[in-house]
Amino acid sequence: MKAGIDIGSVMTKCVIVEGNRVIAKTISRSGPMPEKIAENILQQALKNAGIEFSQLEKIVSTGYGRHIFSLNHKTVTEVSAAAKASFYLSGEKPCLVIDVGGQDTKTIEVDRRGEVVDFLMNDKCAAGTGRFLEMMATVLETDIYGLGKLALSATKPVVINSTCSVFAESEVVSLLAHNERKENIAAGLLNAIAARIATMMSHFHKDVPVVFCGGGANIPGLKESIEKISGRQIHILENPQFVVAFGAAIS
Amino acid sequence: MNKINIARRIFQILSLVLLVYGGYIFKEWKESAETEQSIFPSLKAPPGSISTTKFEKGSILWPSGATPVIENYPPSLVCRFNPKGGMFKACILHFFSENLTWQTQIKYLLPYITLFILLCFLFGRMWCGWVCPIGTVGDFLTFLRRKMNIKVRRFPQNFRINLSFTGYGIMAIALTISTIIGMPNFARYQCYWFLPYCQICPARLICPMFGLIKPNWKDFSTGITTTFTILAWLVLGLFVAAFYFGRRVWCHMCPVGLINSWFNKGAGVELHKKAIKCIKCGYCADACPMGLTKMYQMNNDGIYNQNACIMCFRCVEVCPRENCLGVKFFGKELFRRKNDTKKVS
Amino acid sequence: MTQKKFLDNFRDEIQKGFVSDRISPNNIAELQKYKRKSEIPSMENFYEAIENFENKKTFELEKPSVGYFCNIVPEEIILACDLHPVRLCCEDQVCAQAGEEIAPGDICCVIKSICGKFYGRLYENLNLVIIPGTCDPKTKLAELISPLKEIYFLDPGRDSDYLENAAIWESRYTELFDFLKKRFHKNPGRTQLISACHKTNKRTEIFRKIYQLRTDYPDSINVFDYYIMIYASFFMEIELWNDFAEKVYSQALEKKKTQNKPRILLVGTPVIFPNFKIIDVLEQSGLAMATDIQCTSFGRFFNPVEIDEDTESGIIRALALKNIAGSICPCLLNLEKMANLIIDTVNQYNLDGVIYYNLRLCQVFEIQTAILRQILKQRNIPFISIKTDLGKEDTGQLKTRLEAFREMLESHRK
Repeated sequence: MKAGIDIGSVMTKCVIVEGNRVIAKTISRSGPMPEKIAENILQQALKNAGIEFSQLEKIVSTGYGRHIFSLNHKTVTEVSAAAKASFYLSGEKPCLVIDVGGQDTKTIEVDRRGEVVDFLMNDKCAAGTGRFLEMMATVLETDIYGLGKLALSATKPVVINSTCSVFAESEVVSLLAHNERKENIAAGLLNAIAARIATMMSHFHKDVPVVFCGGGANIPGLKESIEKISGRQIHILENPQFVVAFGAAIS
Repeated sequence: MNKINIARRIFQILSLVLLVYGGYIFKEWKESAETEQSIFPSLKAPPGSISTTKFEKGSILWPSGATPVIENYPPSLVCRFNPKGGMFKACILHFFSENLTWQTQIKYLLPYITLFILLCFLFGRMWCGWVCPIGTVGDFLTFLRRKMNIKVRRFPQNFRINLSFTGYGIMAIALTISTIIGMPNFARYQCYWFLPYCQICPARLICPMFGLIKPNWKDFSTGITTTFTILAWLVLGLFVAAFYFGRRVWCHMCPVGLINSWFNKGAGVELHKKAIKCIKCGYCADACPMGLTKMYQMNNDGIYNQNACIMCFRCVEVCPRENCLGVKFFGKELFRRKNDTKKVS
Repeated sequence: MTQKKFLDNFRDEIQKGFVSDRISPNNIAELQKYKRKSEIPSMENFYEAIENFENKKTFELEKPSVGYFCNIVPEEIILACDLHPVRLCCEDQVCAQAGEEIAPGDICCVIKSICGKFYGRLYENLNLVIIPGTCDPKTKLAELISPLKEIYFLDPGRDSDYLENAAIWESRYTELFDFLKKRFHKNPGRTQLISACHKTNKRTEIFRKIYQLRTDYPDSINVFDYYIMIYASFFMEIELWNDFAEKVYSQALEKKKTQNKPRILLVGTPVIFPNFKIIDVLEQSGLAMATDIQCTSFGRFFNPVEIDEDTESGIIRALALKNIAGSICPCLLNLEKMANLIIDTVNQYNLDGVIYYNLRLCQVFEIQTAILRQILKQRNIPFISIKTDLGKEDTGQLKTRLEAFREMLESHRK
C-alpha cells in the first residue's frame, strides 16, 4: 500500500492506494502549518482505510509543500504526478492534461509512453488560477462553486479583459455598479480564465484527447467554457481534486 | 597569420620561382633530355604565318628571346614574357589566340585542351589563388598597401559582375582579331596584330622585369605598336591600382581567370557550408579577396563554388564556428574549420 | 558624430530634483555564500577582486575609466586608447529600487539598477559613459543619466545584415575612435588596436577552453564560479583576468568528473551577480548548466576578432563584425541565427534540454519565446521558458517548474 500526499497552496489532499486502486482519500484546507496538516490528513486516511502506518510501503509527497513534509520517501513535482495519474486514468493513451489548481494552472502534454513531453505553467502571479476565481467569487459574494453555478444561467456574458486579480476586481466592481447581472459577470470571469487556458493549450498537439483535473475541474461551467473557446472536447477525470495525489501515490 | 594563409603564401612564392625562373633552373636539364618523345605534338606555325620565334630578341613579343622548358599551357598566367622562356610556354589565352591565327587542326590541339580541362577540373580556380605569378605580384601590392595603412576599396557586387563582362569583351575582341588575321586575305596584318591580348597584358611589362630584362616598354615604331604600348601601360596602371586599392579586383576581368572560372562549379575542390552552424557574422564575406558574399548569404547546406572564387580558403580560415565551412576534394574532407583559438595576424 | 549633451539646459533642475543619497548595495554576504561553494583555489582571485570592487564601489585606477553597456560597444577601441573599460550592466535589487525614482517600475530591471547606481552617485569616478542604442530603454537611458555624466551615444541600427550595414558600423566605430582620441588626448594607431585585439583574443582563447571543459564536465567549474568569472571581467584589467582565468582552467582540469545530472543549455537574458536566482534554483533542482548562450558570456567572449585587413580601418571593421554582425542580441534582427545556434549547440554537445531564461520586461527576449518553443519542439528538443524578475518570492514556483523539467528530462533518458 502506498500513500500520495499533495500539499497544495489551497487544499492538502491524501490518497492511499493498494495496487492501483484507491482505498482511502482525505482532503483538508491548507493552512499556516502545512506539515502538521499533512500529517493529520495522512492519519485520517489511514483510519479510513483501516490500516496501520507501518503497512505503508511508500509515502510520496507532491505539491507546493512537497519538501516540507518529512515523513515522505520521495518527492515528485505536481507536473509529473498529474501526468502519471492522467495517463493511467485516461486508459494509457497520449493526452493533454489541464490542471487548474489554487496557485498554478498547468497544461501538460503526455506521450504514448506516459511521459511528459512538454508543459506550460502560468507566470508567477495568480492570473488565470483558482485563486483568481476565488477572489472574484468573494467580490460577487459567493464561493467558487457558486460562481460556476451563477455562470451557467448567464444570458449575455460580459467581456472581461484582464486576468490580473487586482485589475479584474475593479472591473467587476464597476460592472456591478452599472447594474450588470451577476450571472453575466461570473460567466465573463470564467471565459477570461478559459481563454487563458485555451491559449496555453494551443501550444501543444491538436489531435490528442484533453483531460481536465485539479480543483478547478469541480467548478461548474469552466469545462464548457474552455470547450467553447478552444473548440476541443474535454473529459473531466474522476475525482479531479485527488488526481495529483493519486499520481504521487502510484509513482 | 593563419595556417592556410601561410601555406598559400609559401606555395605562391614557390610557384612564382618555379614558373618564372624555371628557365634558369631547368634549362640544362631540358637540353639533355630533349631527345625524349613528348605526348604533346609540337605546335609549329605553318609556313608563311608569323610565329613567336620569328620575332627578334628584344621585340614586343619576345624580349627574352628564349624558349620555355616545357611547351605547355597550364591554367594560370604563366607567361611567354618570362625571362629565359620560363617553365611553361604560356597561358591558355595565348594558346587559343596563337592557334586560331595558325588555323591549327583540332586534333593537334586536343592533348593540350584535355590537359587544361583536367587541371581545371581537379583544382578549379585554385590556379589563380595559389599559382598564378601575376596574382602573387598583385598580392604583394596588396601587402604593401596594408603596411602603408591605406584603407581597402570595396567594390559593389554589380561593379564586379560588370568587370567580368569587360573581361569577356576583351577576350572576344582578342580572339576575333586572332581569327581574322589567320585568314589568308588578312595575313599581312599578322606582324602587327599577332597575339593581341598578350600585347596589352600587364604581364608583358611585369614578367621580363623578373629576369632584369628590359621589357619592351616604349615601342613607338608604328601607329599600331604605339597604340599597343600605350594600352599596355594603361592596363598595367589599372592592374596596379586594382591590386593596390582593392584586393583581387583585377582577377574579375583577367581572361585566363575567366576561362578557368567555367570549370569552378563541379571542380574537384569543393567549398561547402553547414548552414546551421552559421552565425552570420560576415567574417567570410569580409575576408574574401574577390569580394564574394554567397558563402555568407546562403541559408542551406551545400557546395558553394562560385565562378569567381579563387579558392584561397580565406573564408574557411576566418570562420569563428567549428565545422561551419570546409573544403572537400572529390567528396573527401580536406579540412574543416576547427574550434581552435587563434592569434590575430 | 560628436558627443551629444542631452538635457544640457535642464541639468540644474534634474540634479536638484533627484537628490539621491548614496545607496549602498551590500552583496558581500551573497558573495561569501558562493565563495564557500567554490572548489577551485584560484577562484579566490576573482572573489577578492569582486569584493574589492563592491567595497570601494568606485574605480581607483591610474588610467581614466570609461563605462559602457552591451557587446555592441567595442572594448578593444577603448583598450587601444589606453583607457580602462568598465562594463556597467548590473542586476541589483537594492539599486533597482533606488532607480525607480527615475525609471518607472515596469521598466527593465537592468535599466532601473543602472539609474539607481548613477543617481546614487556610485559612478563618480567614471570619465565617460558609452551607451549603445541597442534597445529602447538603453536609448532613453542615455538621456536619463546625461545630466550626471558625459555620454557618448553609439547607434548600431537594428539590422544585423553584414552586407548592407558593414560600412555604417565601420563609420560609427571610427567616429567613436576619433572621439576617444580627442577627448583623452591619446594618439593610438594600428599597433595599439592590434595589441588590444590580441588581448581580447587571448581572453577568447581561454574562454573557449573553459567553455569546452564545462560542456563536457559541467561540475569542473561550478556554475557560480563561472558567472563570478564573467562578472569579474566587467571591471578587471584584461591581462589580469586572463592570467587568473588560465590558472582556474588549469586547476579545473584536474577536477574533471562525470556526473549524471541532466545537462542543459541556458539561453536568454544575462545572469549578472548578484542576481544568481536562476542558477541557484537550477542547482537546487538537480540540473547542470553545461553551456549558455547569453550576451555577457558566450556572446561576448566566444568570437575572436578576425583581422583580415590589418589597416586601421580594416581592424575597426573586423571589430564591427565581431560585435554587431556576430551579435546574439535579440534587439537586432537575428532570430534565425538564435534558433540555429540553440539547435546546433544542443546537438553538438548532446545536451538534454534548453532553458529560456527571460528577465521580466526584456521585451525583445520575451517576444520570440513562442516561436523558439515551436521550432525546438518540432525537433524534439525539450524546452522550458522561465520568466522572472529580481525578487526572490517566486523561488518556490521556479523550483517546481525546473524540477518538473528535470523529471521530464530524466524520463526521456530512459
